[in-house]
Amino acid sequence: MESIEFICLPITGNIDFSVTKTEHWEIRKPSRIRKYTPDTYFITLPGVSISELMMDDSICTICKDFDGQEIVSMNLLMKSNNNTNSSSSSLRSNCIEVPRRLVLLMQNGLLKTVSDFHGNEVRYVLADGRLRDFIDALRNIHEREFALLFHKWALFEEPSKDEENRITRLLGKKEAQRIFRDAEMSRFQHRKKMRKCNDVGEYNQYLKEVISGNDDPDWRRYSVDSYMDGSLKNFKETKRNRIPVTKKELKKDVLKYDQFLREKLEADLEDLYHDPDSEGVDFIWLIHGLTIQKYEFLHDIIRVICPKIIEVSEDKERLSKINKYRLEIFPGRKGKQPKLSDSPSIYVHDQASLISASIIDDHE
Amino acid sequence: MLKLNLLRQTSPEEILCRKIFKKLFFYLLHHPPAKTISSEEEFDKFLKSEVNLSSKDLNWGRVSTGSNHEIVEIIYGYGMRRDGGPIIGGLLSSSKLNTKKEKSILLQNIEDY
Repeated sequence: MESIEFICLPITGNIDFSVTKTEHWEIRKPSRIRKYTPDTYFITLPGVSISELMMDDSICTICKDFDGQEIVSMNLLMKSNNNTNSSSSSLRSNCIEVPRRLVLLMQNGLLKTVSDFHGNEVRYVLADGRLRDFIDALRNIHEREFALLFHKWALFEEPSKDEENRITRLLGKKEAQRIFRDAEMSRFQHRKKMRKCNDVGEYNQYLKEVISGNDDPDWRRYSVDSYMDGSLKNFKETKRNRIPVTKKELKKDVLKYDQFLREKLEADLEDLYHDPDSEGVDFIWLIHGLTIQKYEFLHDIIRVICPKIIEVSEDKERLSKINKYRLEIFPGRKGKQPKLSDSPSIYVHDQASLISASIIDDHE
Repeated sequence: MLKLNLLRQTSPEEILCRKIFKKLFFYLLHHPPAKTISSEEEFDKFLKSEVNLSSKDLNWGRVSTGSNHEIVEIIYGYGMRRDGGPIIGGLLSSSKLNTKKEKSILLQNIEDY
């Protein structure tokens, strides 16, 4: 069975509302081509309705397509993570009270309704477009970080205490324990298989199979293969003093390659946290610094999603570097104080820290 | 109207509003709202009730990726004329497969597939 997708934005200009139609086809031979009905419509809606908010029991994290290195991590992740959650909300007991508070939040300019929708339920969106943009950026860095972490846990290392706590807070105890149990099994299997490999070529081939999903299309398998081939080539060029010959040397070579892959993974994580060119934590501060400072009461949530982001606000030297860089790339904004006019109800009690954090005023 | 101070949250009202706002933020972060419909009628009904549109009013863009381009070409053809139609027609293509050459290309594509 094959799928053909069609995309549509029903309301011109509203990119938050999209529909993806999927047709299902089967081709056996030229005379046997069949279309299965019905088509499937996947609809992405803007904002959220009250009932969706109340019913929310699931947390969906990482299910996106990446290229190259992220595919490697993503496949491992998808194998061990079904993303279910038991985060019950105390809001549920306030079912009747919530609509009244939503109106209050709207009156204070923090929420607004989606005007194009006239269905049974009102849909609410965050009024601040910069906060909506920040959510996208935060989701992106979260997916990238967790893809790398799951890769690390499934092949190389057990999660640290901090990582365990984060996952538990995010997905609930039951789901977190399931993930860690699966990761432990996976690491055990991995070590066993690795010991059986006679040389790095065999080990690399085994890794390709582990990382590729069973139902991965050819192009994805090709990406994983290319990534792993690139890693092996890099290892041979940079880490080997001489070509191993004896059985003992070949086995030692496998262990060295394994260590090389661990270090590479750590370096990828480090880049995400500290390399300004990786579109990671520094990049988020560069673009969304003001928003992060402005919504201080969201910091405890952001800290669980990606603690490294909040750590930056505690590192004055790093923050100052980011600000300096921002002035270089947005020279026109030099010296301007941030505007907070679009969210009058959030009182900023520390203007100095706000200015030091960000001066971007990205209009919607 | 109560002026909210979500940073200081001094009143129970503000505490609850802050809680709702945080929940909404977390929900939008982790769970971009989406729904799946598996029927034309249902889809039409949804469009009519939510945005007062008919599915006939929609303009669809076809997606051809590395993983499915072969089948897209077989069914819908490939290349693009000025009017949006394919240069080489597919099985469902509105352009007639007039020439023998085009027909043989299509058959060959199916065989290759």
